[in-house]
Amino acid sequence: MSNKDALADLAAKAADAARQAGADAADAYLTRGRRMSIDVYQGEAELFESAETAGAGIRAFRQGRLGHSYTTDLSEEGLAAAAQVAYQNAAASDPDKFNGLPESAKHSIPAVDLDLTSKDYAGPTTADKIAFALEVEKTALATDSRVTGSESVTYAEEEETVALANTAGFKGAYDRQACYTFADVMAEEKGEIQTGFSYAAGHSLNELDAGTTGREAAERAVLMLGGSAARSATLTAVFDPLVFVQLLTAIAPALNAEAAQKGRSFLAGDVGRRVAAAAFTLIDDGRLPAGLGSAPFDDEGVATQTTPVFEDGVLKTLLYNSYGARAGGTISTGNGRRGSFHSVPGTSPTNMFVKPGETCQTAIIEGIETGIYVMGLQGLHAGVSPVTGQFSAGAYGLRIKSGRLAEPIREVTIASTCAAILKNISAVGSDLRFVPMGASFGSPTVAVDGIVLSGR
Amino acid sequence: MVDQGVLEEVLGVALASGGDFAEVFLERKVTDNLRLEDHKLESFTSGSDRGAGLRVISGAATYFIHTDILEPAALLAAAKDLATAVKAQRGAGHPPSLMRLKLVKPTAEHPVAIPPDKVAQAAKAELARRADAAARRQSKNIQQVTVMLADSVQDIQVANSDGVYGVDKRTLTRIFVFAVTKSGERVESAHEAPGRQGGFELFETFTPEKAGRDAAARAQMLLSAVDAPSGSFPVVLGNGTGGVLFHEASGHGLEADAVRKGASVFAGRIGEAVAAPCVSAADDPSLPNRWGSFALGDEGVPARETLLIEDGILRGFMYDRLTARLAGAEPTPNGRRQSFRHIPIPRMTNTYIKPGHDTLENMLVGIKKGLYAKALGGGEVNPATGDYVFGVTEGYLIENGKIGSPVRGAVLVGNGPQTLLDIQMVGADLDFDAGMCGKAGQSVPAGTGQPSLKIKQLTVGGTGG
Repeated sequence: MSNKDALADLAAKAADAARQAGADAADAYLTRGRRMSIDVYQGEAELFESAETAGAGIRAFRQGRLGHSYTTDLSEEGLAAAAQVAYQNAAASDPDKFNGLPESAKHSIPAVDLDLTSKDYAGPTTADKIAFALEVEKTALATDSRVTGSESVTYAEEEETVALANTAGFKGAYDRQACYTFADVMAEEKGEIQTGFSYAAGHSLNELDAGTTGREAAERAVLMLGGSAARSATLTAVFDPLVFVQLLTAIAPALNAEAAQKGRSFLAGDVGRRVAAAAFTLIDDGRLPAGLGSAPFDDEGVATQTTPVFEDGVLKTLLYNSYGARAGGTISTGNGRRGSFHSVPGTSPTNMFVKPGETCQTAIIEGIETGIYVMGLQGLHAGVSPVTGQFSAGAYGLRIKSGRLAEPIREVTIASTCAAILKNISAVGSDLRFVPMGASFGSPTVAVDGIVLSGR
Repeated sequence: MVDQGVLEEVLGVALASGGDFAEVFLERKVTDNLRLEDHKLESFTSGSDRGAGLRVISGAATYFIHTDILEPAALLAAAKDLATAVKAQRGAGHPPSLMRLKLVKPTAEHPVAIPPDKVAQAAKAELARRADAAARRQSKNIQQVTVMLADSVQDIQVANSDGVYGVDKRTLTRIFVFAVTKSGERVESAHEAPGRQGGFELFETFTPEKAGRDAAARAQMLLSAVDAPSGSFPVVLGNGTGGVLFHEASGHGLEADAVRKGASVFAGRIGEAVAAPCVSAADDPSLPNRWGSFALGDEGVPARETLLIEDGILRGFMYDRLTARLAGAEPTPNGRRQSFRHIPIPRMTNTYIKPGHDTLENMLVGIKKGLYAKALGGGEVNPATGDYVFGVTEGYLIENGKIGSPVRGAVLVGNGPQTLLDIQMVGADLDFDAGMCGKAGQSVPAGTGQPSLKIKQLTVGGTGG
């Protein structure tokens, strides 16, 4: 029996323990994994980290009441004790007729290889991984003489087995593997320091390219040297893919059906309406081959699916877990996700991306008389409200003058609303990139008209 | 959790392949979390986490491993793995040496009157319901109220090859109330989230009703707020939550890892004037029962004050053991970790600007057009440049020396070092707020404190003219 099957059996026992404790229904989510990371600094490895982790989260339902508990003790006794606590916790909660396990009709999981692991994952040695990270740093320093050093350069990898079982007969497990590299480097000129960031991910070290990551981080830092605050203006903003991805992470909570049902989404009531520009198509694809947010089933045991969220500017659907689906009189879109075994399933994207167009970034910029190419946003987390859609964030990037990139701009803010940003998208590029930020988010370059830039 | 003798053996094994320093950190943590929304107590989550993190430092390199098992055999196996990793890189090896640990006794105390495990789950639920009811009573425009109540008790044990051995128990209690109001098409939201290093006595001084009322009143007030102006204005920062300004704009740059890598605007500037002469600031985990407080730090350094800025002069940085070792400085209690699964790094505890003598009224005098930022939300800073941004959750126009209409959607954008120099007046009304600070993928409780401040000029980003 594989480790995967053994973990699934353990999950089934844990769910059953909750039923024996008195629960009407229960599920258990178990993960077991290994991760390691290496940080390098000034040509030396400075941090080696390795760990094995395991944990279980158990949900118990009791006459419509929900209780939950978690533990890192995966012995049968440990799980039984946690199941007992989950059952007791249900007593303190209020009944809610939408609570419960997903409908059993959604339990058949299509047997498709989602390419979540790589036979090459285990190949590289620690020395290979150190050499890789050192090469990222070295390339960054060699890219431009103004690059003075790295703030952090990391190579990290993790593999994990996820198992889920419930008392309605669902039992499943899958493995996933992923590797990442991150680089934050500094450039300095005339006493001014700027930083640049790059990132790449894959299923094995072989899929990453040290040179590309090092160079990109270096180029982004150097480009920002010599920047100054700009005057206030209304103009077209061209968002770098890595930046529009950040914007998506801020908008995503508003796509949660439960948030909309409870009055916490600026998109509530907009399903079926054209609320974005026709160029904007947004897809959540839980079955994207090799996607870092892909899985055969979600964290409630519902099969994942490809969900067009916006199609040609029309909001087609919100995202549902089983609770939100029951409350909304529909079926789950397979977006029941747990941040970890510590939490109950909420609703969040899987691989959510803006469908790329056919125009390259250079061509988009060439068509703009005056604008800003946004290379970074600051304070998004504080400045965007998914409830009201108010949007206000610090920004930096390059001025666009007569279709060309010009001098750097910093210490400016962009203020708008999420609704206005979606409506005023004027171009979508072809250069789709993914970044894992909780879920995996992807975007090409996106241009938005009528952005209010405030400066000095 | 584990005998001192076992820890001595574990440290010896960890250093068997060489290294300058070894440490073992053990943790047990139990938590209770509940969430109420839409009048309903949605779920109640309890959990227990336990494990150990072991590290060896050799030169500037750190080797770190963690395990979920607290049995002596598992700890020794982890220590052996660590020594093997050190050996692979360093090639050295010598027999384990014998450690002798000595107990460190911290002097700071954070008494807990009502420990979370002495409060029944039904009683916790009742506190959340009281906050919900108070928020809904406060405003007829309430559309939604979310209440979260969270408590945790963390027991730690830390030992290192310098002979330091210590234990600490940290108890955290916090309530979070989020209110959404609606009038016509307009929707606004606000939150209030008091917390303390302590137990449920929190609710005797800060009642659930007050948390609910404050959140709802702010969300109600925003319904009549005008769009924030954009441009450059004098700004008066309110006491309490305004402390996030110093935390973001300067605090992160005073953490020794950023300083060491030259990624801080304060690197190499000890003894220089970095702020207006009216500004003094410190970090202090020994402040009784503040949100970022503890008795013993995660690296076994007892809680005490670290003076950062004195009358505008830069006096010190916040160190963990590694950065202190590399800089030849004494470690401060700032080596903190989210859990045994994370390495300690320099972090703020309770960071605050010390009180001055001015009053809010005096600060407003002479401002023709400005912003009174009474409460601030989260923010973000680039420590290398000092550029920061943060959101104003409760703000008012200042017109001709008087506080005017409420504004919404304002963000403050500036540069930390410049802002410190631009502080013109410091109030006497020091107050603290509770928050979670994220850095390098780790989240820790951080207290921020500040009296009212007058800042000469800041860029305000808003949607109004």
